[in-house]
Amino acid sequence: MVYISQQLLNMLQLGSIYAVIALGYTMVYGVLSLINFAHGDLFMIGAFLCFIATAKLHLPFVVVLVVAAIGTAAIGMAVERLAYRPLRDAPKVSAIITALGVGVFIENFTLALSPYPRHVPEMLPNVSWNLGGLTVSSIQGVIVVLSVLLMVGLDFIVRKTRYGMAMRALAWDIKTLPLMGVSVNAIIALTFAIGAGFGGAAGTMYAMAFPVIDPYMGIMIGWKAFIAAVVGGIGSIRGAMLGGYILGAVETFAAVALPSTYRDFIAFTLLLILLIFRPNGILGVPKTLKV
Amino acid sequence: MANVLLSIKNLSVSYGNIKALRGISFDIIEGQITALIGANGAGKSSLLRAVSGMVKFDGEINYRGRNIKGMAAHKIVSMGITHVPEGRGIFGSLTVRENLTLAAWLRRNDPEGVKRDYEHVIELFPRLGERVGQLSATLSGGEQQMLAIGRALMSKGDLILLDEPSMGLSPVLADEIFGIIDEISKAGVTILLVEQNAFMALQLSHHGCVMENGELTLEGAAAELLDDPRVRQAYLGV
Amino acid sequence: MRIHTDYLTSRRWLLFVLTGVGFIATVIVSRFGLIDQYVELVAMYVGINIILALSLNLVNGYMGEFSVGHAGFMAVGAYGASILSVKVFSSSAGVWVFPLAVITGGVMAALAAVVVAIPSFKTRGDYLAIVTLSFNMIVKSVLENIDAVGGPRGFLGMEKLTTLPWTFAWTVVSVWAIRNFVYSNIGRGVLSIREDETAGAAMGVDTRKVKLHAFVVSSFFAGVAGGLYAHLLQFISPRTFDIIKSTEILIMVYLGGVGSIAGSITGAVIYTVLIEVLRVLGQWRMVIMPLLLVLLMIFRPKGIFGFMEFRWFEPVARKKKDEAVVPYRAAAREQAREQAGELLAINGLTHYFGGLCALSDFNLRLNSGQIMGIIGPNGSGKTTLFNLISGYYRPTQGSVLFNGAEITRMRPNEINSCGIARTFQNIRLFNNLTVTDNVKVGMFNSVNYNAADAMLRTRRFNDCEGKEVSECVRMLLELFALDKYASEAAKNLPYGLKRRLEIVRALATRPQLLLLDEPAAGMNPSETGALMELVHRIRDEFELTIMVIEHHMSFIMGLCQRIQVLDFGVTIAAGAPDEIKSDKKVIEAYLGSSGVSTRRDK
Repeated sequence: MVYISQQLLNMLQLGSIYAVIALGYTMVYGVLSLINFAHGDLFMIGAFLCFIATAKLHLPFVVVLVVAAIGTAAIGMAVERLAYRPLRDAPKVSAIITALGVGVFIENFTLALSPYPRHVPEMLPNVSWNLGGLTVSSIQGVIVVLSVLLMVGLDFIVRKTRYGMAMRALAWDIKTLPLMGVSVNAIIALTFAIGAGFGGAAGTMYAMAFPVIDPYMGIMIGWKAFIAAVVGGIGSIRGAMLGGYILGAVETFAAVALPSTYRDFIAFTLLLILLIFRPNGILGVPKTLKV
Repeated sequence: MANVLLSIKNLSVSYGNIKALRGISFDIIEGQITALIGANGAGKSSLLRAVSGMVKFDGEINYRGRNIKGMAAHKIVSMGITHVPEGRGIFGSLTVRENLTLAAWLRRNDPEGVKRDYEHVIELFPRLGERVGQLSATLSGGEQQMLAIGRALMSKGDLILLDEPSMGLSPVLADEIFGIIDEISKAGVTILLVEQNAFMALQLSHHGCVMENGELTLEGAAAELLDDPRVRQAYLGV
Repeated sequence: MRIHTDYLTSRRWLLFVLTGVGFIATVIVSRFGLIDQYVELVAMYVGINIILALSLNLVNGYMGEFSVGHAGFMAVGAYGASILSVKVFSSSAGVWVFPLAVITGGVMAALAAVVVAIPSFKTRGDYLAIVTLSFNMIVKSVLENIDAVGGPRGFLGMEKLTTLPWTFAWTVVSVWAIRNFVYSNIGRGVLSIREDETAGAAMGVDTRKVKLHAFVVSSFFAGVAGGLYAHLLQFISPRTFDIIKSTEILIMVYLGGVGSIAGSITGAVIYTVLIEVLRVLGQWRMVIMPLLLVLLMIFRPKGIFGFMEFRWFEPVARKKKDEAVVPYRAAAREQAREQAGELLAINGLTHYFGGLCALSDFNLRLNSGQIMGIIGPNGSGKTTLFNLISGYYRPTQGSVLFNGAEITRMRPNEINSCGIARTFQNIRLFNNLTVTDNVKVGMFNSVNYNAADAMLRTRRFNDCEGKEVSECVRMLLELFALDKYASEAAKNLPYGLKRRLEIVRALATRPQLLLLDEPAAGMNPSETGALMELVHRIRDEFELTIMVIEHHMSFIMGLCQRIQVLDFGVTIAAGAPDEIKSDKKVIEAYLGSSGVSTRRDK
């Protein structure tokens, strides 16, 4: 029982990280229908910014979090401005290939600057509480609470603010939005800033939980978070959260029941099965065929 | 007092190798309804898109004496030109209320006015009033057209470009929409109206332009065009 | 689009000579060690990458899907071939072991493709991308857990059987076979899926069959490339075939340009060579490479040869003139004679969208040879009716009988095969295909050769393509005065001709019943008149029965013997034109009182 509860905690921690990265994916996809394949690498940049802020500048945790999020958001906006904007009217697949290219570029650029894995020092004192045999660490608490706050905040922005309204309108019809007097460029830049900022925050959260970071860490985690977004129904904020936790759960419990080498196998097979039965994800809305 | 609001000079638009507009010139007089008629593919919608900054063009478009060439579409809106695009351009994932609010994007500093106009639109289209909280994708074609026109009123432009407001509407509903357009015009808004339904459009308008293959072939008072044998033969089907 | 190289086109034999000379050269070079081993190795990589890029291009470029897990198929092929050559046969079993191993690898990859093809029946675009990605990950994960092939440590023991001549031969065969596949009936089916899957199905293209074929062929060659790769490196591990490898193949395809054989070859050559040349940059190589890719995409989003083809890679049509072919119309007549009096019977057809009733208890009887009109305000359920008849929607209730047989729950292509063709309200042509190819897609079910015939260019293929298909298309285009535009892309046609081409394409499927959805939309009165004549003409010449949706009252009244009026999904009137014109309910709901109430005073 305690063991299962302990695994549930692990699941919550891992799921929260996946969920926050998935939110960034879903944000950009939901607004632009663009799979930003560089998102995993923006997450990695977030973790490295966190490393710099912690190990080199010795900043306090909250400042580290803000620096990582804002720094990554700035890089995300720059990537949009330089690489994606010129391709806005090009075939969608050109933009996706560009995104892949940007991802490979970011990975290897970071690798060239920092060839070795880095160890991120502790940002918060790690306190553990014992609750009837169950060990809860402060890090786990911070990660879970932070992810919930981020989700609620994003949900609020998208549903209730005028900028969120403009984003939803952009997703529906990018050609008509300027006729309302809205600058499409500004809204897209904002979308990327938020999406990348979430990646940066997730990078910090990851570095708290798993302090060894390297330039390639974003590839696999990025793809998995993407899958989480798809499982939930890409474009749906609540779906991304749900998908993140589901993936976290599947991976945690697969690792419990089977040798760890089966983890990916189980996760991806489940994904395939799910997609066959719900091709648009759990909370995704099927697009009606227009004839 | 003929006061030129919009002046188009030698306007050309191309999509790749295809020329949609070839050197069009005409003026729109403030306070009038100008009808633009012509067959499918004649370039009517391209002309509206050029005016609202959605496509690049050659030539000159002057609004209140200022050349708007090269301006971004959202900047052109801020000058007072509102475009109701073909197919209505409703944001289906937004509610009716959000659609109307979004159209007042640039009027941040005028919440009083926005509120007044919102109430005016609801008054004008009671059917929208019943559905303010509904996703606009669930509206019928006629209601969507009303919403599109309602949005134009929320933007409070001085010039409204209407692209085929009667498209896909039954004759009964089209009548209603034309009545509303007339009302808006009487309130002092200038209108450029593109229509397939040439008969109704010319009856409603002060001035008319006929386009063919990207060129302006005929221009004159709407009443005269209604009696012109060429127009009658090709566009009115009589 | 083509690259015009008439000089080379007229000297097509040069291609065969070059291929032969090339092969002999590779034999000599490798036998006598005339070139540096490193250069030889890179040359072999180039060949393998060409096969990989071209096979992915089939799915991503020609079919317009987005498969991102191609390395998964390569892995299946590599492991399959290696198991055969290492575990099943001893190394000295004979020279035939290697080709057999490579083909086995290809076949195994082709079988694995079914896993991806089946989800593709229902989903496409980004979701299919996920399916292929997952496939890649699953293959890698499975291999890591099979100890017999070394698990995560990798698989050793293959002999270096891949040589320069073998690579050259396999590359040539792959290019040839994939080209033949693309330029055939099923290849046109593949293109129609890229251009407009919905319209393809309406033309009788069995999209499931086509997708399955494309995935299987594509994966087979990916597997072949995997087999060659394994016997070149002599060591493979699951990590060799991870998502990074897939990304590499994607990059080659999009660098060279999709939908083009020349593109894939160019992309593979440039990528492979560049990655070797840039080795001098050390770890900055992988910084520069993606940067170049991004720049290329920005300045040339379609890649180097996107949708352009080098003439040499296009097959020449072989005209057979010895026998007379059965003219299209004679065949149509024969079919028509079988018809009974009542062609279409619809009973109580009802359709709900969510809670909204789009069509309610619709009944209809239609006799052969009739022209029937459906009118009503927008949103009254007219197009829904067409979509139900042609199989795009499944009705909530009711049945559709065609020639006495129930077709209610068939798929669109099956219904088309029964003899019902349609056009679309908003014109759905295959925009980037030529006028000729648009019509040829309509003949999808009229050919009697299969994919293997096409890939091997058998006699059956040549007879059918060279005679029946090309003759029939030529005749149709001439009859409708579209022959001038035969090799023009459909998107470049003027509006009126697009509408006409859509009708011709529908006729190519040899229907008995033709459904026209607002054929006169956007036409002025004189154009509408010409269209009326055309519809009359095809009804008589092709012995068709026609149902038409239109708003132009003159068109409907002048053309139809019977009219049925819909409002909010309910039939409010049915009868002859004169009865409809004076029907009170119709006037109220649809026609309105004449004139406008707002005539301006001046």
